[in-house]
Amino acid sequence: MKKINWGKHVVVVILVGFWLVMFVMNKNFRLGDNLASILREAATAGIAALGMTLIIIMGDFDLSIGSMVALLGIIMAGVMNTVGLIPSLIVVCVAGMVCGLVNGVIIAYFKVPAFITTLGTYYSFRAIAYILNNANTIMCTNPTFLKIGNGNIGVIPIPFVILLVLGIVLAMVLNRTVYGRNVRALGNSEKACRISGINTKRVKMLAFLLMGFCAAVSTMIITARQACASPDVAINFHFEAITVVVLGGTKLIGGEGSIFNTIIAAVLYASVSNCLNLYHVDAKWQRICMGLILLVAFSFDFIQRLVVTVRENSQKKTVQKV
Amino acid sequence: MKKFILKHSDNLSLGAVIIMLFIGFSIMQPNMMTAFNIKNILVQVSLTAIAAAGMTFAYTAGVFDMSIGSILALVSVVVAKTATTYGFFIALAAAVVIAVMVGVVNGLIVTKLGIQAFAATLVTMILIRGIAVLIANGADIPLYSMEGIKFISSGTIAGIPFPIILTVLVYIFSYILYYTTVFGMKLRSVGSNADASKISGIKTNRMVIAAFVLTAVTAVLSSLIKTAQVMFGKSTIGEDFALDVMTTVILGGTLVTGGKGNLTGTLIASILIAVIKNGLNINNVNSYYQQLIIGIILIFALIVNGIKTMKNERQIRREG
Repeated sequence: MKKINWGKHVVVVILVGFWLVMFVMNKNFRLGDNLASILREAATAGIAALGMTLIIIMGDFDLSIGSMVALLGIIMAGVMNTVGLIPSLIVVCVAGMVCGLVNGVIIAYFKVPAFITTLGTYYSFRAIAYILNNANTIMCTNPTFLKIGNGNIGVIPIPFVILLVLGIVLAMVLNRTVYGRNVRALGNSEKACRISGINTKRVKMLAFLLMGFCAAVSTMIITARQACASPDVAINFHFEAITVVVLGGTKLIGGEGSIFNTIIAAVLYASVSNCLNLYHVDAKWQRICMGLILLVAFSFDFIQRLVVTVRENSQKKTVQKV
Repeated sequence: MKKFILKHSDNLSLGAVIIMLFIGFSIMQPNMMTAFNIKNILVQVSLTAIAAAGMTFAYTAGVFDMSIGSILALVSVVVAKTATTYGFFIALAAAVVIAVMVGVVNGLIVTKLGIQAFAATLVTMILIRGIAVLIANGADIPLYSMEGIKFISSGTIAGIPFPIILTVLVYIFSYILYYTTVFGMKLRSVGSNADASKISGIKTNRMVIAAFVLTAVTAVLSSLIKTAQVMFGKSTIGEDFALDVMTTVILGGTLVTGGKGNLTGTLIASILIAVIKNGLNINNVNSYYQQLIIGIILIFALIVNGIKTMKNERQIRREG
């Protein structure tokens, strides 16, 4: 049997511990409805975090996803109310990939740092979302569509099922295909990749395209849960997605990360914010809590690196002694 | 003369764009040319230009500060809270102390924890905004009793508005610090090659922290102008400030990759952005379009920046 490296799965241990404590402490937490709502909540940030995992493994970031969600929501709701459900879902996926492509082309082909490019599109996409419908909210009342957000398969909420399916597909892509290997290689050393003949530009562009697709799927779920598309939606979305990815142990400098841990981290993040609500924590404090959680996640990354360097140093010393 | 034009081609082309835009807007709306409006634009310029000077230092050191908008809010709230009880100068001192602290914290997270500047300041951005909201308790703090504060945004010395004098002072100071001191030279060397600088004995960590502190301190001045304009301590100001400042610095020709800053360019670019914003305002264009246009300008500036870097690299390869 393959030995499991527990150091890489700290987040699983934390999630199990947190759930055990909360099960004992709070009787509202263990209600079936509450658990289902946590899974539902986990799916929205989780799906975007799946795409973000790929991008962070590559050593980049995407800040524009929140604005993408706002823009895509407006486009989707507009098409849905005028043309129909199925065309709108197709349009939103295509539009998401186009948004991702815009980011990807600028970043890969003009060698511009990702975070500044996506900061530019962060403002541009939301501005377009406002302009498209004069800053108005569009209602979505199609009952089949609302099922995407509120429906269940058995006892498991549909959003979580979508998260799992997408997660499995992306994990296969990341771990079993040449493309996935290229993504990880790119995070380790872009120069080495280029020299060994990998088309780094295309790898980068495709990752942002996938991110756009994930944002489109997130958009469907967010819009379906709110039953309306608003240009104000998902202001801090990039923040949530990055927190989830980093909590999942994906290294900030790139090269290493796991889709499975991202999903677990999404559930953990949703559980924590659920508990903040259960204990009536003020919205003002919740914002600070979010920042602190991200800081803790970053420190994980730091501690991991520290442990690795200490271990390497001690190994060097033993080698020298021999 | 030819040498001068070649050397300053970036700045001159930016200046030409400003003049063309100004003429264009004036034809569309004659009110643009009035002395009152020009003064208005210059005050608007000072708001971003001052913070952009600090940000140029940060970019030169190879880092940048996303939390600048939140610093604006925190300083505004703190100044409003303390000024009404302890007087303006104590409030100013408190603001500067807080800014230095924020800068040091940003710098320590980046240098000691080894987290990229972007991610680290993203954390402090949300934390500082949270603290500002907490201190203000979610409401605006009125400053009606402090008429003196108004001087910062609308006072004049010998007919020149005070913010403009402040901007000029900040830029003179920045020029001296950037181009003539050892500190400026070390900062540029850290930005262009951190490893080489470290080996040659420069304390790179200290340089990065200093860059963050400079950015935060200039943000205090910008915040004072903004606070004096609205006469409120607001925890919501500066949401788009980071975008404005970064667009200004990058448009000015400072390299995103570090090592090479252009203070003159930053100043000219801040005038350009203020002219665009003012021109759109005066022509009754919705503020969403303004955001879109600034975003597009940023992306355009980035592409130009990227092409320039690539050309640079190619030249180095050809020569070496």
